[in-house]
Amino acid sequence: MQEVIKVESLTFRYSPEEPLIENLSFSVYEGEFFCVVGPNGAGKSTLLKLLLGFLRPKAGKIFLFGKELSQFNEWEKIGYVPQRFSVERFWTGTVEELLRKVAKKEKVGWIIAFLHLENLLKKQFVKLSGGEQQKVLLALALTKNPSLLILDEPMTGLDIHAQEHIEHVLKEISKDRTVVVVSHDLGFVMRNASRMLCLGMPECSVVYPKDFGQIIRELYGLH
Amino acid sequence: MDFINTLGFVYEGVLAGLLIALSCSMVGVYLLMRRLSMLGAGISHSAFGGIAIAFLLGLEPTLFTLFYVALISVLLQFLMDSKRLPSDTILSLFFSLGTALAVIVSAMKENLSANIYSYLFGSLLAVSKEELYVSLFVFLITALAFWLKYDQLFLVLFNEEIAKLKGINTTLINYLFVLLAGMNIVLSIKVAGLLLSASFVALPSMTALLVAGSFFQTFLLSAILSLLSVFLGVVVSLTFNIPPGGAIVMLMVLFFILCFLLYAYKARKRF
Repeated sequence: MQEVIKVESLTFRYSPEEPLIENLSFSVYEGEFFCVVGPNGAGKSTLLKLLLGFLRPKAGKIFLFGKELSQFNEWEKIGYVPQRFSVERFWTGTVEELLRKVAKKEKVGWIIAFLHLENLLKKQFVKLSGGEQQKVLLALALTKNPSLLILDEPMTGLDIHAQEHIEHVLKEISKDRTVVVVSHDLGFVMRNASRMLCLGMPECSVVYPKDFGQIIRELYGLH
Repeated sequence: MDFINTLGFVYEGVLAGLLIALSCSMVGVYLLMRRLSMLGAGISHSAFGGIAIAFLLGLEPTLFTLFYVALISVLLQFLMDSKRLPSDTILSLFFSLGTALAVIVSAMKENLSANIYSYLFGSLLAVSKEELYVSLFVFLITALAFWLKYDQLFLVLFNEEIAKLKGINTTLINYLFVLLAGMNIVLSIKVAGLLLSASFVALPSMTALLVAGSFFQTFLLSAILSLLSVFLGVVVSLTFNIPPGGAIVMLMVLFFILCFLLYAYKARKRF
């Protein structure tokens, strides 16, 4: 299987005395549903920012689709869904404006139908419910039909119905692409992840489904 | 008839006011969506320092201050980008520095303070032909930047990370529009005075944000409200013999209150 993401001996720190990520190595393979878990401050979102080139590592290498990050320029292969709270609440754009700005009309038709966005098109993004906003962010990430989808905390702040809906959509989407999700929702991770990366443990490690329960209990101090 | 005759004498100021208001209304929306509405006050007070230096060195104040503020704007964006301090703190620092500089410089030479302090209140009616040309030039650059970069700006304001992944140079966009904001704020000092210039940037865009139904509508409404405020402000000013800057800003506040009431009424009806 092709390595979609390969991380070698990655180290990152915001301040010299406190390394947030140290000597981390892992790979994500084509078609995986790969989850990143860990307590607050373990470096989950920072890891995504490093993978996407928003932050520069202090040491180590990142490869995307076999190319070193500094050489990688096929960003249309990657769809990114940021935390929905990162969208400025004074932003007044509508869903329709947003989708039209990133892709041609004929290219977003299938996404609008697939995510049932027809009734939301004329509405302003900031006035949508959490679940609706998450769907729009997903739609935005899917406009170029990416083979790798990266999501940062897609379930945070959603009610149970919206969570179920987004989970269902993600399952559908993951059938023909690689998905990497940072999530605090352990139920979601246990139900969907093909493997997970645990940050915040003395030895950050990639875990297979049979060990999910034990590792999560260790990680979060649950009994 | 008297009014039309008077208007003939001050058409340079009125035209400059309309051009500056229009471009301020556009950069205002950008600043507000980036939560940088304090930038207007920060830059106008920094410009106060620039005006003082220009008088001290015997240079043309508007042109010198434009260059001075262009440098300050780039420095401001650099400091905000470095994220070592919150934006509000950086803007407050420049606010204080500019004012202190003006106060010190104005005490250095006799007769200097009267010239420098005249910029506190400004006057649309005292705009010269040269200042009208400078306003037209800055308006054209601002309009061109918005026209060429509208789609990119749209995504940068939505989410910078998504914009970066779409290949947009977010750093360039932010430097460009903060620079344009700085230059427009300098020109609004001449029209409304330093004390009211930040209103040109903040008020129409704040009002538009309350009632606009889309991103495009926000820019359109902000522009319409700005033009209306300047035009009606000049009419009120000439009719009742009151300072135009004050009349224009009063109208901007009035529009804000009216739109806020409309917004509150609509919100109440929804629930």
